[in-house]
Amino acid sequence: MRAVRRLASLLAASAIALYFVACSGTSQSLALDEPLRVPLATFKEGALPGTPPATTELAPTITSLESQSTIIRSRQSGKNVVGRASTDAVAVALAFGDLGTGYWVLPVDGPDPQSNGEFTWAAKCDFGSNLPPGNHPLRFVAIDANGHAGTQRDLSTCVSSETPDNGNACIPTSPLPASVFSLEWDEDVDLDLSVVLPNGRVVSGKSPRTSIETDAGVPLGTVDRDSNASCVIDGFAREDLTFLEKPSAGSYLVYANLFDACGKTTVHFRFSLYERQANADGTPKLVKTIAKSGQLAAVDANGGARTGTFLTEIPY
Amino acid sequence: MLVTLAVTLAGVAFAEVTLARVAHADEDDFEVSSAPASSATPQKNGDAGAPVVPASSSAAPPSPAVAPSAAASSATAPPSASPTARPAGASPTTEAPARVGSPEDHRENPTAATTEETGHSSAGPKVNGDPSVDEKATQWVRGAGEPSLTAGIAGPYGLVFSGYVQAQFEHSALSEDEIQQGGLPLNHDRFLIRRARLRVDRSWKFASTTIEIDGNTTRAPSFGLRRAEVSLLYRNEEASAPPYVRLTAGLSEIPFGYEMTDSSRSRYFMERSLGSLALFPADPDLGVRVSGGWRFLRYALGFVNGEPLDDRPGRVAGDPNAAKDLVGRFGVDVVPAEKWRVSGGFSFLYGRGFHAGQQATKSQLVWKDGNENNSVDQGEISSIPGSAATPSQNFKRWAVGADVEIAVDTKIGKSRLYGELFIAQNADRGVFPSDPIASGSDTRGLGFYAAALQEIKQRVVVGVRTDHYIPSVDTFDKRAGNLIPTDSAIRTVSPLVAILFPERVRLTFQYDAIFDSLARNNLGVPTDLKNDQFTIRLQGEL
Repeated sequence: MRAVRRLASLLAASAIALYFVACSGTSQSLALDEPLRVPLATFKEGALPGTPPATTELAPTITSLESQSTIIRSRQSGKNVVGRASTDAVAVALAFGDLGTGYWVLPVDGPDPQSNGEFTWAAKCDFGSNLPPGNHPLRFVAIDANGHAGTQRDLSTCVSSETPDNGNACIPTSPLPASVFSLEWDEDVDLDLSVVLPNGRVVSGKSPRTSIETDAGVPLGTVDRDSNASCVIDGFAREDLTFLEKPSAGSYLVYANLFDACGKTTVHFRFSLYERQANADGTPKLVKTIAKSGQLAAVDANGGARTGTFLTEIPY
Repeated sequence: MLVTLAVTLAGVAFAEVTLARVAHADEDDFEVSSAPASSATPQKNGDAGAPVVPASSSAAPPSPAVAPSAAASSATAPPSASPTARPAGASPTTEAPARVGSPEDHRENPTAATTEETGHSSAGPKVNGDPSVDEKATQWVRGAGEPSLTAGIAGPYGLVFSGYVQAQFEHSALSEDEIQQGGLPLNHDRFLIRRARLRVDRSWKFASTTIEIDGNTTRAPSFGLRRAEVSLLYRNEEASAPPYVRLTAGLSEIPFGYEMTDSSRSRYFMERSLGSLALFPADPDLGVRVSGGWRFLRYALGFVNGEPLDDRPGRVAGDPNAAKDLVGRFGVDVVPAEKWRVSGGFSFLYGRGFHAGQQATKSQLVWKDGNENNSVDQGEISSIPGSAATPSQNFKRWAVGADVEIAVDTKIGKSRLYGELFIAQNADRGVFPSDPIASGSDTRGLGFYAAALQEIKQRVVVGVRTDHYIPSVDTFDKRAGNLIPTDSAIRTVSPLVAILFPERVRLTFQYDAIFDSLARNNLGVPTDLKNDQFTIRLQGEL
């Protein structure tokens, strides 16, 4: 009996040890926490192989690189980047030059007879949330059949700010807005940012402008979108009222109005006020000056019959 | 004391694992037990797939009259071991009395049955409420040999209740704390109830009826019908032999190969091999069957819907086409020498799959942000005209296979070696479902496995199974602009250790090392995906 016990223990220990020893293979993570995702490519941990961009190019090379836009927004999906690689390439790897913990690899497509048989390739890129605004180049490199990577090549790209900044993150000469009222939430519901202006007008995604007039020197504020309107989910879950210049004097009453719960039971929201202030060197920046958060239940949905839940009063 | 050591090779329980994020396999091959006995036969089948020593046997009291597992014990058991245990409703004048002994016994020594034909209880855990049932006798009657369509086991006369629970923890290297597009969680590290089954059997001389329900938490807590069958049968005078003819209608087993009729209760490997799961994503199907045997010959022929009953999301509910599948197995079951048993057979499947046509669509406008400026510009709005519905189509599918099993009694315990091989065309319904209408070409697949089990002193079982499944032998991969034939095979090696406790409980640990080409390396070339897994299961029976 003792021998049997011993044997059983040995077998059990062997089986457990097998797990740690035999666990083999290549991980194929979704890498949803990465700033760049390429759904049809394979994610690899580590730095992008190859030599940094230089004037002298080592084979294999990326011979062509094209994209419709160099502006990237957080959570953007399906951004097409296409290009060609030299005839000795079998795969292309790509990553942000300064963000993320790994890179993506995809095999090249067929040869392009109009480009001396260079291999074409195409990457459809998705981007994560909370990307730091500013210039972050996408970096590409070709890999040959021996696993050797050539010289990397950059595609200049800039990540726009999630908080409306009038494009300042990518175009520094563009002026920052004076005030931004932002409402964000965590569920796929039709929640509206409603602001009652000093003149009694109610501004929201469904009536987005603070004034129907565009002149007379009245600072114009605009709500950027009606997110998840009629429960058509757009993935933003965020609305912003932006004033490029300081709003007219008076009290601004801020509400969160659950238009439609879209089948969800609760939603958590966060309101923030950003205001333009000056750095020590005099350059402007957006600073969060007010933050409020809360929770709404499905019973709070009113289809626009009410103004919503009062959050705060902002005096100007 | 019983120590059973079962070694198994190849456990692919991985519809869930190998398919990674495709879908979780919840194949259902589950035979819920019933306490069998009477006309049990030495036929290959669900009971044959049972462990060398039934789990129940391990729990059996060491009474010489009810000695577990050993065929010789059965043969020598005194015929009056439990004279009062005849199931209620089984009239001694109209129904053959049940016998003491498990089908396992018959399998090992078919001649033993006739000597035990009279005066014994076939009772399972409870025989129609008869308090006079010998508890010791009932304890070991349960076990590997369940009444089975293709097993040739007809079950005991009377009403028999049985059931079991499989609670387990499973871990997969694929697991991520994420959700897949569509909301499916990608975490595979979890506790779950894999099977919780209750079964009721009632048998008469010329008929039998079975109802079985299955509950599990594989995808969500659920209960469903696992088996519901009615049989008319013409029994062999020799109790150890299968009926000459048995006509079965309802939801029942699919008679193809070995694993399909191997009971989930008695099988040590967590799930069937991947190839088997591909052809039959679930065990039961609706239809009619004719089965039986004569001397050493065995046969089973089924005419079924061709849609194994499964609760997997996305699978068609019911039978989408009028065509039915013809499936069957013809084999032999022989005892060439003392302590040896050899069985095997050939199986086939022929039927028609269903390719659903597209439904009609309405015209719609689509905006594509071509210049990625988040604004609607000229040329970015296009129309997609509505389209009429397209007709559905059927396509032919077939599979042929062969299986063999060798069992032998050794000094340290029983040994079993078995395996199966099949080739198929357009028959994958579970792993990479075939649809030649959509793909434009037939999909030819191949699969085989081999398994070995060794019992050690009836307390421990060690085993190993290796299986090999090629979903399509015509797979190509793009490499530098060229299409290159590539290996789509998925190979699994599954060692296991099982410890058998008294009280009908067993603890099993199985590791599944999976080798495939589902990932890509640094060159973008297919390579092995890190998707090994292990499972720890505690199984208890009623």
